[in-house]
Amino acid sequence: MADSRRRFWISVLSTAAVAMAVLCIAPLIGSTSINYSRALAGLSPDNEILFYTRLPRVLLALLAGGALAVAGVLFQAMLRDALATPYTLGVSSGASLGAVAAICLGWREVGHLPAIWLASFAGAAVVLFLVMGVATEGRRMSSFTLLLAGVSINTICLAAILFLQYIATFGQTFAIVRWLMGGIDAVDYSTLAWFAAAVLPAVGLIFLRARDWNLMAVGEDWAAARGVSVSRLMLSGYVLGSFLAGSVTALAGPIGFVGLIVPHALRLKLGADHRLLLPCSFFTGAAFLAICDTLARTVLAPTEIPVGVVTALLGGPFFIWLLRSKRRSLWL
Amino acid sequence: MTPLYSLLEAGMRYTGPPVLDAVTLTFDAAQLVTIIGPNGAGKSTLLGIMAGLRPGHTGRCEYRGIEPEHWPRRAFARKVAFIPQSLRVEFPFTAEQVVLMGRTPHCDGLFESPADLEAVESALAITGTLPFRHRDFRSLSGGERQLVILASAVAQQPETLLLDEPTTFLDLQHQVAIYRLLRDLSRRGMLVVAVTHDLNLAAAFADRIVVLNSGRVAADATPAEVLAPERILEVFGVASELHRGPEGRPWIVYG
Repeated sequence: MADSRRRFWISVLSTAAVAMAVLCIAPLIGSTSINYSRALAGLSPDNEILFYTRLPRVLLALLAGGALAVAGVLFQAMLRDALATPYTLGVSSGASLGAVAAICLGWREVGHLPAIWLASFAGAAVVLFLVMGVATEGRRMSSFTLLLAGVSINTICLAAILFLQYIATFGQTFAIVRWLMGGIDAVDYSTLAWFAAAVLPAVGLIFLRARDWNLMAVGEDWAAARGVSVSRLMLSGYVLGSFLAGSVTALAGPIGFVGLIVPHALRLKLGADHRLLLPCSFFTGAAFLAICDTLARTVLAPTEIPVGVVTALLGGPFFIWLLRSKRRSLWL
Repeated sequence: MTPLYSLLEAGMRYTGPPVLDAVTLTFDAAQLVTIIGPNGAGKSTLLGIMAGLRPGHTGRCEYRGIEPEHWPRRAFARKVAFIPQSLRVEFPFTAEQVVLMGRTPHCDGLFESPADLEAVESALAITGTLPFRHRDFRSLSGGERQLVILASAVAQQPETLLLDEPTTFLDLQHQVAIYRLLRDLSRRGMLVVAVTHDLNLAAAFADRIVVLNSGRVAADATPAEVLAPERILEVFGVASELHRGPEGRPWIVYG
């Protein structure tokens, strides 16, 4: 089974190639047609459109999509449930609440770091701890209870966000609404660099423990009896998972279903081995969100729809189908 | 020779009366020991303490002179394998991947070493699970699953194997197959401790039976000594007769 090594490289490189292809092609698509030779020759307006509006946006979508898919795989392993994602667990709305609170309080920077980012991370972490606390009490819980916990937390966070919006000033309300609509926007390269510097190491750290996550996805005692230090692994999962979900939410707002569709589709194709699943989810999630974003800005061009709307339209029906098939298998 | 396990007044209580109350036992290598007793007698708790999965017990439980919790986790996992009562797997792992998980304490890299693959191959062969190595674990029958889980423990190459009710819900063929395998492993020097509800399986295969009742050791001896009708009546509240099967093995008929 030098086989397993070959399988790993084939899967990882082919998904990476898909993400690269999207990176090359997506910036060319849009309301104004441009071409690379003109853009690279520095000719206006192709150059500006490519490097200042489209490329940063595609890069952001790639990074955010990859991060969301990896966070999905991670939460699914931690909770041993294929329906666990940042969005369904309420972690994304926790991050939103954090961000909205930061806007309301007028925080801009905390020790040179953007306040919205930190607040999102904190909100995500609090919700994740809450859900996991509910979920692991009494050892194990059904996915339905888990989803109900997620729905409740979503509702609470939404109510809190509405309340904050109500008491906010007019200017703040505008900022909040604009931010909540989410969506991938053209960002400057220094923000992108920050985002990459946050997301990529986190993904890497999760991947390094891929074998341990395999055992954890089967059971805690199962992992512990095979030499995994469960509490340390779970702690790293909490921190890295809420960090990923919080970072994405801070920059792109709440985007659902990427962490659900991508890992599920890949498991059907590649199986459950996290050594394959984690890197392939990163690249596939990246490509998926970048494609969705390209659709979002071209389908009704020049009007742009938030990318969250596109992922929800694709992901919502898929989620219901998954829920139904899961229930059937539970009843059998 | 010092025993592998020595338990001295080991106990466990959550709230209310202790689940396990001052159990003193030792276990040596190359034995097949079964632990029997009614529901709630503390069998699983005892096994959990021995596996190092139930911290906070009272008394002492030492493996080679060190409490399981104080062993480095991976080093302990190279010595002692534990098989839980049931395993519900949510994700599409293949049988072979489940077996491969037993190698976790032995390897550091992202990919398995030749030694890992060799151990997996032989574990699959020993347990007769080669035919369904590539199948989704969730699609296997109860008996096949249990064999795969056992293969995973064999691949771990431990000196001690702890099993919590390995044959519950299995058909006769798989029950016997699993106990034959456990007996072979113990003949080759492994300490095998299995919790079971099936007294006749215990009688047929075990070198030694430990009877737990209300968290205490009610008996600890060879099957023939332990399975006397008086004791069965006292511990389980069921009348029985003790017969001799082939090879002089005791055989219980419930009356």
